[in-house]
Amino acid sequence: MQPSDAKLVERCLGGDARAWESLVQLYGRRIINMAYHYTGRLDVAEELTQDIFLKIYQNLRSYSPSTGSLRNWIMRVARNLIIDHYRANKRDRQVAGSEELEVLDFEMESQTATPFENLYLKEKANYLMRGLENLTPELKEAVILRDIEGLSYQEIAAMLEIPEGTVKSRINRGRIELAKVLRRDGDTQSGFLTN
Amino acid sequence: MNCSRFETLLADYMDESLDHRVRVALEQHLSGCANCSRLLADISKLREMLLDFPQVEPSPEFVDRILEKTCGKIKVRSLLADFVLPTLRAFATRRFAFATLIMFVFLSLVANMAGPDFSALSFSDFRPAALAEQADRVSGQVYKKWMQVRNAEQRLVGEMWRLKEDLYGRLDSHLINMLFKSYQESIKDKSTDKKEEGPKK
Repeated sequence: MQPSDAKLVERCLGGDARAWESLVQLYGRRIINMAYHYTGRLDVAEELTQDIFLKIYQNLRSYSPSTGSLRNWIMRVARNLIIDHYRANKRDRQVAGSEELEVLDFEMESQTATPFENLYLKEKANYLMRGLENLTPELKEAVILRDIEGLSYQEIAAMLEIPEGTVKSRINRGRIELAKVLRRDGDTQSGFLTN
Repeated sequence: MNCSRFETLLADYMDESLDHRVRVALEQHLSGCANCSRLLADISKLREMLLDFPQVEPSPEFVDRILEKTCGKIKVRSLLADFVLPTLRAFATRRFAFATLIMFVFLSLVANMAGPDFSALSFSDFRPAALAEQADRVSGQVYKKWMQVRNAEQRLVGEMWRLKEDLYGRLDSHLINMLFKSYQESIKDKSTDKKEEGPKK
């Protein structure tokens, strides 16, 4: 555990609101982005992030430096809640009998991009998200953490508590599966891969 | 090497972590296998696209909501961090920068036309009365310059009209002369024709 992490946890447990606020600011961006990339919906991601921080706040006392760094612990808690939400959501959709994919709500109005560029980025994000939805949760998670979140193999292995070799294998299979799914589902219409 | 082996080694190949011998064998397979070449191209393209995936920037209000939900405390807002900087960030766009540049150029032109001497400014020039007097004087100068420009423009337009009328007049008289001459020539031709035809009868 980093000395600054130890101090931060100690201050949070001592009721220091400022310490808790800096912890929220330190990890908030990463967590909301992870939730956003799993769900594709900003409102759901915000709600999930609030639940994740509530869980962290309630369980901070159970954190032990011997289990690894604070960062890995926080990201593990976040990931478990996001995966639970994802599975429950998928089950609900199957129970409802809807085989159709959810229309994803990527809100990505960029200040610098033109409306046409924003539309193109949105189309591209939805296209990738539809492909990712076809992967198993393990493969989807590996691709998101590596290729979207930009985590190293080591970081992913620590977060998922699996060997690095397994991480690499899941990423590889996830990418191959994603490419094949997108080809199979008619890339000629969207033209993202053929271009 | 077969396609299945190629797929197993793909991540290591993209990470450039294969040893030389395996890499050469994989590239040999790639050169002869269209399916694997396309798969590699697709995955390279997909990785680029995934890297561009949209990112969210949590707002200060969002952090507030988390704090309220967890420790029940509402953050005391800092004027600079919560109001001034986000407002400035909202203006940091190419369109705004371009509009500012245009405005700066326009104001520079107006200041240049009015001709205030910025090097001779003193503290007393900033008194309300002095500012009002200066504004009055400058607006008078700008108006005067503006009227000069307007008069010059009107003179120019008048001159252009005059030249146009003159040109049209010249063209008209030239055309009339030409028509008149051709008419005279046609009459002359007819009378000579008649003279030539007369003795034959």
